[in-house]
Amino acid sequence: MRFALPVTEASEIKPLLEAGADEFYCGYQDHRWRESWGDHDSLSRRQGAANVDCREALACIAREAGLLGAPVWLALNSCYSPPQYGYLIELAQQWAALGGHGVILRDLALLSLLKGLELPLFFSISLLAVAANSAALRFFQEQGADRVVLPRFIPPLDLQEMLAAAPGLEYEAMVMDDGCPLIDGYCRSIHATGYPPRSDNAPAERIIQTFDIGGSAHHLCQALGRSFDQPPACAACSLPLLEQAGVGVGKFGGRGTPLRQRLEKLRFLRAAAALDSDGQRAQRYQRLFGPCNCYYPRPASALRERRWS
Amino acid sequence: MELARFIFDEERPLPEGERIYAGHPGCGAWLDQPAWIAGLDRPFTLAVPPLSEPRFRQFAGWLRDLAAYGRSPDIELAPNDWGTLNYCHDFIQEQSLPWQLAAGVLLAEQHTDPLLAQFCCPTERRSPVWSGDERAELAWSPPPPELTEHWRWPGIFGKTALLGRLGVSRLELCGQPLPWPEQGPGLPVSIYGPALLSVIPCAACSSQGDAGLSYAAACAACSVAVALGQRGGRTLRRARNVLWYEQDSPPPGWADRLVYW
Repeated sequence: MRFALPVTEASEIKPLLEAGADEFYCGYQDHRWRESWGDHDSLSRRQGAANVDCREALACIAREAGLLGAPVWLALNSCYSPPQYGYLIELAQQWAALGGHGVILRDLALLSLLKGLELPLFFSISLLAVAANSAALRFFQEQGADRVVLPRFIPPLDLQEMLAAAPGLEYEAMVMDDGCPLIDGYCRSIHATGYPPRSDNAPAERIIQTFDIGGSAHHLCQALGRSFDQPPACAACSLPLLEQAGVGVGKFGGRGTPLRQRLEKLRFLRAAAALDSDGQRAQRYQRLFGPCNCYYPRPASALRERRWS
Repeated sequence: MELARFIFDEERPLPEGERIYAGHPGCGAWLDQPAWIAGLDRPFTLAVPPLSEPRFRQFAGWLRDLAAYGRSPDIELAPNDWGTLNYCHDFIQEQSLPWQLAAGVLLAEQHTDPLLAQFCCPTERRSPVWSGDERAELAWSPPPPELTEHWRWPGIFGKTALLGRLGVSRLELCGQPLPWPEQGPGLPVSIYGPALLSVIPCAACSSQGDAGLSYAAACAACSVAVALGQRGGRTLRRARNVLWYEQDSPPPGWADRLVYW
């Protein structure tokens, strides 16, 4: 399985490649966008520092990846309104001119607009488009998709039949980080910037000068009990099943996290993939990160047997 | 304004003078016992949730039964994922059925976070929050008009060309915290009373529940609405995989159907 990692700077590409990454993706948000539409998650579904913040930096990423022979995808995976399309088309055109490999998107109107331009780009349908059945895969293929990122909630056991019914597409699935109990393609809560508490234990006050209404405490999933301190969601034990089903690319979340953390997780997953048993993988994970936090928990058999009977 | 009401299970007598909505936009449990829906002899809309592959195959099989044995003179399907929507379009075409097709409420790409109303309120600019275990306070500046406009506008409005190719003749929306755009989408529009905020699969639907809980028990537990707490001054509730809150603002003038939840 090839692994796709997030980057925010060109300098991150080489060490990640050396640690076992195969391709990359990045979000984008520059001054021009922020001025009109804010610095929350409205452009690339990630806010602020999780994104590349200027065209020069984007060009550096495309150049460095090109030199090292690694594909890079640009995430334009939010839902947009017509006044935003001009900006997005210009950005995609520039991305193609810079040598970017492809675009990850969910907005089918944007996909149609970009396909019409015949840019030398591949198109990947984001997991936010919730391709949960074979009819959706075929539909997205008809719309011009080359790849589909599968939603997080589908058990790998259900994938085999589903992917076999839609040949000709490349498939990607989440394998590390960004686990969420909500189906994010149908989640309308705003993601916004988190911030650390003050070290002196005084009540923290943060004046946010931009249009960001957030604060980590405003994440809906956190209000539902998800803790950002929990160990990273991990699919180490599901990699064989995913590969068997036809998933060729494993996606790492964690945009905007420190490079050191991404390297640690990548090295872990590369090593875990080579281990013989789930027990060994779990042991290794627990030693590094804490209690297991499985991306695709094994179904409770009693529930599963009765589910579709 | 046409009125409509969700009927989640077989229920007698059926409400008079209102269109019936069967199925559910977030939960496919009705597919386990769908016979009563085919037996409806009144106009109805069938809300089809986003379907997993096993559920999709189950639905595709049952759709043939509905076409063969359905008694209603006026059937409208409202799928909530693109694949099922496309499948229904092809099925209706192939079978030359007089059925109508609506784009389900989860495809509407609306901005329904109740925090948006707070954020756009001209007098409120600060909000207490918890950051970890600590009390914190957020303050913010007013959003620019472009951003407010963007939040008011359901993204599905920008996809009417695609929807036309798919034979969609109606859009389903839900309440939203910011004022509606002045212009509608140029298609008939249904408005669901509550504002839908998110979808979270229950133990039964995700097959990840407590091994001691049967499918039926997990499913029954999920069908009862539970209050989850406050967000942006609204009480969030969860049932049948959907998180929602009551949104009491009036429907826009360009909507022609109000759907009670």
